[in-house]
Amino acid sequence: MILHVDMDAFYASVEERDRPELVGKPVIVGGTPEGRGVVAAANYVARRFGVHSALPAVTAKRLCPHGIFLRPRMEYYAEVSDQIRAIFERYTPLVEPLSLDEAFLDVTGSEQLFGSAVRIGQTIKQEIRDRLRLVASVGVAPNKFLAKIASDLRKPDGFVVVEPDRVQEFLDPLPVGRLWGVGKVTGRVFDTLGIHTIGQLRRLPVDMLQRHFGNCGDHLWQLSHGTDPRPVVPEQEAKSISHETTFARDLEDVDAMRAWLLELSEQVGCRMRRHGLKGRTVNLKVRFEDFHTITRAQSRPEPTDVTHEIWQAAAQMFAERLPSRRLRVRLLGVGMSGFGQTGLRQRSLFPEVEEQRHSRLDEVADQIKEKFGQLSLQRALGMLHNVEHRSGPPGADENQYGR
Amino acid sequence: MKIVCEREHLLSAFQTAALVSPTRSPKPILRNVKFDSTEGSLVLMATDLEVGIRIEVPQVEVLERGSIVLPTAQLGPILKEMIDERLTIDADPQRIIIQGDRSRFVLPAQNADEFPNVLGFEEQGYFEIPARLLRELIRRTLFAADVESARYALGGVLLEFQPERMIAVATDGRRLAKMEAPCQEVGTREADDMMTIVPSRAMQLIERALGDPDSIVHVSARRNDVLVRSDRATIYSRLVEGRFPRWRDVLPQRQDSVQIDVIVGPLYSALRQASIVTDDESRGIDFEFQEGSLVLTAATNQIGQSRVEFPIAYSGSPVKITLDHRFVADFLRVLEPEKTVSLDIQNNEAAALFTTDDGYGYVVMPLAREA
Repeated sequence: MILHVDMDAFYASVEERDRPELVGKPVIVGGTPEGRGVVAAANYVARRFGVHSALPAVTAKRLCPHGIFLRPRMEYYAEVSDQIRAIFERYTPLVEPLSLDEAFLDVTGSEQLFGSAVRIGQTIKQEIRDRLRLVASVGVAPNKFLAKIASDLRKPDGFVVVEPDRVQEFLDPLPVGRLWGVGKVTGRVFDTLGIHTIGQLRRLPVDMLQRHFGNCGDHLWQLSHGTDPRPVVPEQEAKSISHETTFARDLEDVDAMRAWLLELSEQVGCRMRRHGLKGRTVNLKVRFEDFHTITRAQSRPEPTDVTHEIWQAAAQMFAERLPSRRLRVRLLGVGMSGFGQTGLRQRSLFPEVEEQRHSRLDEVADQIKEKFGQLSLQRALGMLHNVEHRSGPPGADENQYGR
Repeated sequence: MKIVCEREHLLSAFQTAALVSPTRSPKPILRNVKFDSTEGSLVLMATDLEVGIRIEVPQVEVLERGSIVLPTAQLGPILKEMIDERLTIDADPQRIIIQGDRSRFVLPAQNADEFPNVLGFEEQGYFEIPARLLRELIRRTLFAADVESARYALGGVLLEFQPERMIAVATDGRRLAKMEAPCQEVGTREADDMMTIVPSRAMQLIERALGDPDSIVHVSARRNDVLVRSDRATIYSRLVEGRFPRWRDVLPQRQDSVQIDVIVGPLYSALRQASIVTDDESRGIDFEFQEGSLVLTAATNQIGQSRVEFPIAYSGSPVKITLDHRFVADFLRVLEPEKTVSLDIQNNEAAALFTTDDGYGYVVMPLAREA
């Protein structure tokens, strides 16, 4: 059984915990009361005003004029996140963190030691509450996909169990939008087909889904039956690190796509650096409007964690190794694999001035973001993509390559 | 135009020319090989505008002079598949007939005047070098060039000319190969501080187009291009633009290092053994020199470990260096097994230098722990 543990309004809750006078008031982390910056997190009081993460602070201020704006303390949140992780690891070594505030746990092998998965889920939730005075929502299910839906279903302070023999009963009434990969565009297709619930989707013949959604059709069909074979991969063992994003509206503009590649490369690079990993192979994933999906890989002579190098490789593959037909693009993904574990580095004959400069730039940028939030500093080129194209923050939770 | 020729001779010349002929090009005429026959000789020409070749076909009977172009994609298979020893090529303005005893092909004629001019060798100032030495110069350096690098200048071989010496250098930034050979300057050439960086592709072609090892080859480097004339062919190539790194600076000249003589054959054999348990992510081989022996070891997660020992004449204190096995193999592969190379190493942070007694030097940077 798999647990998905998701902290409720994590950054805001940490702030409320440390400053009890904030409780009951709308707390907005990120951005300034003068309306600069972007919201990183909002507590549930603020959410009632329509404030959510990634919202420009100026809008948040308009929606919630009495909101208390706090500067994010990323390093501190990361510390708390480590404390949460330590609780997880008492029950299983198979912990796959998705971000600071959520993780998958495979507890199948732990049930002999600590009791049923449900029991373990309850214990972890209780420990987080007792020791850290924070609230988590927990989903317990036979696989990752179901566990993630379950944890989200009764947020905040949720605890939802999907028994293996009641998967269909659980899924059928849910709206199709709950399925992974169903964004606005796919949603519209379902609308025209008159499909609203996962149960309706499940009863469609698989070839009809394939006709409408290409390769994804099969995937959607699998999910609607509650099937998800992805294992829980502890991050240390990850074979690849990747980020991808599905656009709310298919992209046509090549500059915007290049900009997205830069942003995705930045996220991948940042994560590589945080884990002290360097990769040899850069992976590019492109899904076109007709759902045709192409992946390309390029190996570099030496492992790297430099954003600029990852982006160069991704952009080069994008420019040179895609079919020449000009279709709009629905999804872009950038990933790295081929992590050397040797700890050895090939020395260079000539000083690598360029690479060192970029490496130093990444280091400083990482520190700034750590302190002031992910959106505090961006590359000018990466900002060329229009914010409205975003369907949400690119998911860090998918190790999709090689599927 | 009408000629009679030996199929084998024509095929051999054509195959060399076809290396230049692009398979795809915005200028379709370039996908042809041009035949130019004058009194008693036939010259094939091909170019992609960056690199060009003129190559002579021996033992040709010219019945009627003229120029034609023939499509590379068709002519190759025709010459390869025909079984006749001799063949006749007979062209009129409409069509070209290739005729053997048993086979006959008719191809449409195209306007040969559209084919761009391929420069011939008309230089008065040039260097003379025996084909044997030029081939060695190329074989021993070309592999170290970096064809994939973003640093464009590393995608070629640097040629340096001194009055009696020619030096070729290639590097990919992690290892560097340098080869020197005696040559002879003929005539005078304009003094020039330009760097002669010849694209890897042209270097490959030059090696292919060299004939008799004892024949003399003429090399003329100009501001933007280089011309090479062998006994079989003339090759033209544009030069790679950009600055080649200051290669002399990275050739170690040390007093306090360790020098060891090793014979190529046994070292290559030991290296091949030790590298069986390496993979793409883990390419390092530890070279440990001890009293009387060299020990090569490798270890890769989930693949295994290797240890290969063989005797060498060494009596200093132990010294160890980790090198990418492919870089060492590239070097050993171009040498005769019985040759002795001298290895100069200092520690695992500094470059390893391999040299031979015939002007060859090879520098490899080590794999070292992350700082």
